[in-house]
Amino acid sequence: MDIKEYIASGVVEMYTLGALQDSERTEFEQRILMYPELANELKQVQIALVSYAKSYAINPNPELRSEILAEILHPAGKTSENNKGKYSEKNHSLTYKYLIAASLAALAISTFASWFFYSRWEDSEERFSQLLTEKNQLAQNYNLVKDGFDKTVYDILIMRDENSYVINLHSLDTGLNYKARLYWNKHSHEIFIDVLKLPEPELDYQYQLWAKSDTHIVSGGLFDAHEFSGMQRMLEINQADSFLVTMEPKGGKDSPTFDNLVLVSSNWEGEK
Amino acid sequence: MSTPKQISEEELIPLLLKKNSYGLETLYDNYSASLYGVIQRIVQNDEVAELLLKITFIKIWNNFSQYNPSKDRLAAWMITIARNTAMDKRYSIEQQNKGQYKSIEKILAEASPVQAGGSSKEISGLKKLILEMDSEYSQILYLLFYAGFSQSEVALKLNIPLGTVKSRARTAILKLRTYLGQIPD
Repeated sequence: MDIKEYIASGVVEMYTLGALQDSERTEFEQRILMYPELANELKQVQIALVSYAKSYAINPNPELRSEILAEILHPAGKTSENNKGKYSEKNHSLTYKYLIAASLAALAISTFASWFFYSRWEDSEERFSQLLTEKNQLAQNYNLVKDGFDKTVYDILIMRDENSYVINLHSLDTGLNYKARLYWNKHSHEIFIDVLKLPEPELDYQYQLWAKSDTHIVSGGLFDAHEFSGMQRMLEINQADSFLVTMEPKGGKDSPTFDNLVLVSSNWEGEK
Repeated sequence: MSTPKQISEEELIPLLLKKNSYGLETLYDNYSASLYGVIQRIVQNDEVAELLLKITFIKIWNNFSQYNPSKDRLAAWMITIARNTAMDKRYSIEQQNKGQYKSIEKILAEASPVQAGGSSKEISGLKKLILEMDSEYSQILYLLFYAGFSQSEVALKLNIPLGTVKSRARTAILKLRTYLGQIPD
């Protein structure tokens, strides 16, 4: 293309005045790169137009200067207007000092925090083991109570069993007032003894229950004399007319020692 | 208002690339009046123009790495930014008002350069040249540059062919260049 003709068309002036269409402007900018003559012409037109703009210059409000400079140099608006470029190196070293101080402060804080949380953790650990001990104690207590309760319920069930005969045992010597009670299940033949009042047997001796019928006498087993033992299960007895309790050497005997007779049974309901 | 500083564009550019505050001050002192003249004439409102001048300087500062000295003169590049900023605002004001910003007669009535003191001898002479120039040339330059009309709008408003708009604009600028000592090829 004839670049002189292109320049003479006024396209450079139109470009500089911002009056070209988008497509024309793109084309022009491509040709600047291709034709140094065009590029040079553009600079000359620009110089003329800059002078033209100077002819129409209007001084802005003087207060605007500091406002605009401050806004650009300190966008956050925190530092003073006098804080200019030549102080930047000083600011850097000051910044590093602040950074170091901030780091040390952070270190101190984190050390304190470590100690604080470690001691808190230790406290927690101790407290936790205390709680664990308490919990185990409570569990043991609970088991004791539960066992006691279960035993009581068991005893009550025996006492309330309508299939059981209730047989009172008492001492022959009315002055002593020793007492026990038997619960004898007429179907299952289980027998339980409830000691109401009996002294501790002599050393190396135990109490032994006997079931007596017309023809023979059989052992019902050995039992303790504690009043709070509750129901003690004895040997099953199929048949009996009366019951006896003797004090026998530990381990018991095959036949009762009548010299050591402690309790005898009263009559009971359902007795043959 | 600080007085303009004696510094060439070639000296100023490296300072601005380094984000030097003295460079910014110099830029403001040397060019704010030209830029404000462009902006104020386009938006025709001092308050809006002051805000747009601030926006223009922020754009120049933030986008300075995009400036290409081999293509544009620094002042011309900045004037383009100021013009575009002002034109954008003017379009939005025109959209809101749903009409013409100002009549062409009113615009042309204000088309003369201000004969104020403080200008350099060269600029004073240039003002005189513009005032004495045939209005068919000076008006076209003003309508394109300050009123922000496109070539075809100017052709339509002055009822002249498009080619005439271009050639008159070129002639007007050649007159300025001749005065400024440039000798076109």
